[in-house]
Amino acid sequence: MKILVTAAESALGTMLCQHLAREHDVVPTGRSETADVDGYRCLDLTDPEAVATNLEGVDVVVHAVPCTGEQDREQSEQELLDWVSRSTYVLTTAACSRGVKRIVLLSTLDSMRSYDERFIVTTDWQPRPRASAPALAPHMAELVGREIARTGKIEVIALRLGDLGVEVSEQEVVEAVVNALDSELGAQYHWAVQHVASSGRFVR
Amino acid sequence: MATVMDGKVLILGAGGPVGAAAIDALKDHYQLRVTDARPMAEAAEGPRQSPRAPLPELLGAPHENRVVDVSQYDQVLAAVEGMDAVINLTVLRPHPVLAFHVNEIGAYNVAKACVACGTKRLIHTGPFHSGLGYDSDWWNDFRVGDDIPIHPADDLYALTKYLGNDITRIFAEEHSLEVLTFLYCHFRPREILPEERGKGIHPYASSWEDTGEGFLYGLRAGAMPSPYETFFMCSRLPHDKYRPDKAKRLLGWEAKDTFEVLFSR
Repeated sequence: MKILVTAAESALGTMLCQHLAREHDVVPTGRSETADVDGYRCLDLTDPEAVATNLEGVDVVVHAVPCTGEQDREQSEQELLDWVSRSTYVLTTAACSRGVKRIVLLSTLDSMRSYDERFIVTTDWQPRPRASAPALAPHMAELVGREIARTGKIEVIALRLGDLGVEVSEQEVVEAVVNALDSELGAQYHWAVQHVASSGRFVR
Repeated sequence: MATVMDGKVLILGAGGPVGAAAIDALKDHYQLRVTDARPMAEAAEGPRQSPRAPLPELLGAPHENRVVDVSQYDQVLAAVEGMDAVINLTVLRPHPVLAFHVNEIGAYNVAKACVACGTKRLIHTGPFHSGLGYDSDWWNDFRVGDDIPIHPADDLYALTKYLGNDITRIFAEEHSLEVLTFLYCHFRPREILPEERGKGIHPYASSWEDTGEGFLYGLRAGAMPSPYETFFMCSRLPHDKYRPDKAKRLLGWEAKDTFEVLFSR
């Protein structure tokens, strides 16, 4: 399987590339000029032509930007929100036109934390992100993925990752991503969400 | 209660025909700060968005005209300061970058500025895309109500406005900012030309004149049941595809234009 990974220069993206490369043809991409990942390509995800070119022959995209798009010092909160939303839109629409089968969209469980801590909060519960750009960005990416998936042109599976080392281990994240590459979404749906946590209140 | 019976009202994106209708309906009741991405004097000169669409009137004192780029938070914050209510009419449809900057980031900036300034009421606006050419839109349904979830598909305009709506909702619910979101689809003039008789009408339609008056009702309505309420702002038509029930119930607004001659023999 040929897999394009976004935000490959992030700690999570690099770790995923290393694991996925053992069995798949991985295309690591990111915003940085260079990264310590084999085969890394600098790719501006808001450039539709560049994205389409890099999606040639790709079967699945692992889109790590939504859960790694932390605001850096030189980026305003508005730029962060725009970057995560727009890159997800450009990537998803380009993937549709290139015939990519599925996007595994890595999001975060932070949008579910405002519920009362007594509750077991599953994917049936409405996301309630805080009203700030860093909190809204992964939620916006999910909405973009969900609504485009509704057209039936592509499958999108969102993995809401818990806190690494607290609610979920690296190995569990890798397993969740590997499973999401070709798992059944159920019925005729093109959209699915999973909570990736082995402990805490986000698992039944 | 966030009712705004008088005082100062900011209109963002007032250079288009909805802005023109809002100015006309509100200018005698409120002190307006009228803004657009381009100077209002320029917007008032045209060209019109469509042949019979209204142009905004260029207001003088005590009203104020100002250029505001809604994607720039500092400009938005300065415009919102001192206002009792805000009406956000900004929209950008086809541009792959600016659609996000105006429809999503702009909504973020407006909601954030309203919270920062303690604005009583925000009227947010957006499209209800009745048909987007795919099976999950609402085109084949009837009796569709105000609170139905919008399905924007991959349409750039619909999707970016949808994101802006959700951001506004999240701000409203977290900060108890009272937001009324008015949804539109097809606009037309109140005046019906002889050659239009019997030619039919889009099932989700409203006149520019009714649209403008809707803002007056939106500002003056009593407390809302929840911080974020969505309204179909359209004429009640016998097609019974779209039901603007909530606007009548919560705002007391009902479109005067029923356009019967358009669909009568």
